[in-house]
Amino acid sequence: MKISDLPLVMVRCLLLTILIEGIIAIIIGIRNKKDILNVILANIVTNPIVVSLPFVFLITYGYKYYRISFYVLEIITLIVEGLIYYKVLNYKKINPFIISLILNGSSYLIGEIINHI
Amino acid sequence: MKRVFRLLLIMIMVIPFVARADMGAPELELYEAYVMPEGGADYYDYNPTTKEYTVKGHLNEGIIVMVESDYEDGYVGVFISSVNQNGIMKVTDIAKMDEVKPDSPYVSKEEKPYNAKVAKIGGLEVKKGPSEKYEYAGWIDKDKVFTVRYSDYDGSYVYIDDGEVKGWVNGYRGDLLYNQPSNYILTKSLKIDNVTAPKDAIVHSEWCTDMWGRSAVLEYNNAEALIEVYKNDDMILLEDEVKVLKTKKTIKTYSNIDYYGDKQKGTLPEGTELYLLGYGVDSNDDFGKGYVFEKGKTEGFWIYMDESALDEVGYEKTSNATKQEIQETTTTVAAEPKEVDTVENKTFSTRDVVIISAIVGVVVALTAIVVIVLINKKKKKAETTTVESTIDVPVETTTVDNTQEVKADNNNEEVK
Repeated sequence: MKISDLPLVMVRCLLLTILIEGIIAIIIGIRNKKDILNVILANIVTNPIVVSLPFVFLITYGYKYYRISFYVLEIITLIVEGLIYYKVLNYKKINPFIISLILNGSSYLIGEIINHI
Repeated sequence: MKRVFRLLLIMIMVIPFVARADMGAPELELYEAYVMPEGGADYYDYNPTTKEYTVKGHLNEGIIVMVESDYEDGYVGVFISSVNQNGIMKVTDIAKMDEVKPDSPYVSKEEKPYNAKVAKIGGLEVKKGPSEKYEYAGWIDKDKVFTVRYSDYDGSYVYIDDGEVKGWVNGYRGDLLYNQPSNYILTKSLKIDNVTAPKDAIVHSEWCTDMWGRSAVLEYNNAEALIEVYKNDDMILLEDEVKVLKTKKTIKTYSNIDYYGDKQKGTLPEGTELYLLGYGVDSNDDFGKGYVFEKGKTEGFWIYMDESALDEVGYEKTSNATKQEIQETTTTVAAEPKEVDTVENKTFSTRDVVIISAIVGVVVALTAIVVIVLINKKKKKAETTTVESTIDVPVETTTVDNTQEVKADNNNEEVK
């Protein structure tokens, strides 16, 4: 991947994440249409920032800071999405932060598998 | 819920320590420095008993030292690689090497500039000097081509200045490919990617690694692959001309000469003219064998380079000797870059693309937050309205003669 392809990469990552997390959300029991929409919107809140911000650190401070920022942002994503689910989801069977962990963990793992194929 | 919050808060607080420990932050950052004074500077030994500094040696101006530790009273501990000794120097006698510019005395200017291409997936870090210890100066993408005009003393680092980024990159072991066009003739069939090039085919190469990478990108029929070529007898590097030899006596010819044994092919009589395409490494690790074509024929074979058996009679163009087309090996390099001085001429740099993408990402995120708030606010309003419409209306009662009728609007009970 070239850094100059970042806009395309952001779009691709967002679409894949929405698709994967949408499917996983349905599998774990989130069936309400509004809830699914909120899951999608939560990913739109976090995903573009998580993908693009590490590259700002990369070009400004180097590779070491790119890796650090990537991990920190992933953890912040878990918390932010958990908070969003806590506030807006009607689905109450699973703790919203656990939902965030399941969805983000699945999209991260599946993303890694896709990248290595 | 509160427990989860507390757990998460603790996790966040732990991150800086974990990240820092993971990244191995050292307590003292080693750095290179050079000896500043025009007449050079002394370096010392320290006697802890007498607490005195005694002169150990003298370093000329410009010598580079590695600063390893801080002493008191304005002295630092250094390692001097040129004399392979440790010593102590005054801080005022050395200057930190923040940036190594092309006009530094420790930089070699290339007599013939050549192009280089970034081969490492993900790109390469650019440093302010020709060492990992220098500060970060920028980033260059994979496939970026630039002209090399300066390199460090052993060529492991080359200087890049393409108008966007200036600094040093390490091309070690194939991270950079260098534009050094060449042609090779194959001494046996060779698989290049998914294409098999036959024996005696001529393959072209535009790019090769540094001397430690020992490889070149060989091209054949639209296929290409990075293959080790140094001391590899599967291919012979071709020059523009080949030597013409003549046998002085009967000599043996071989299909193969290597450590596992010689496979004799036949013999050649005295007076046979041969084109010497190149040398190969024999079982003694010497370039004692040659790959040749008999004049007028197009099949190559090996012979031992025996001076008593061969005479040099002249030179011939390689294309005539092999009866194959040979690609050009001349290169052109870009002119010295000029500063971009007008806004209209400036295109988006990599840095611009990243910054703009990050800003767009933040705007999209904020918009999504607003949408979440709006749609869920409407949802709450809708829920409130529904609740109000299901509240019970009070029951009416009427008295008629000896009976009582109790009417209820919303329930089905009737009491008479």
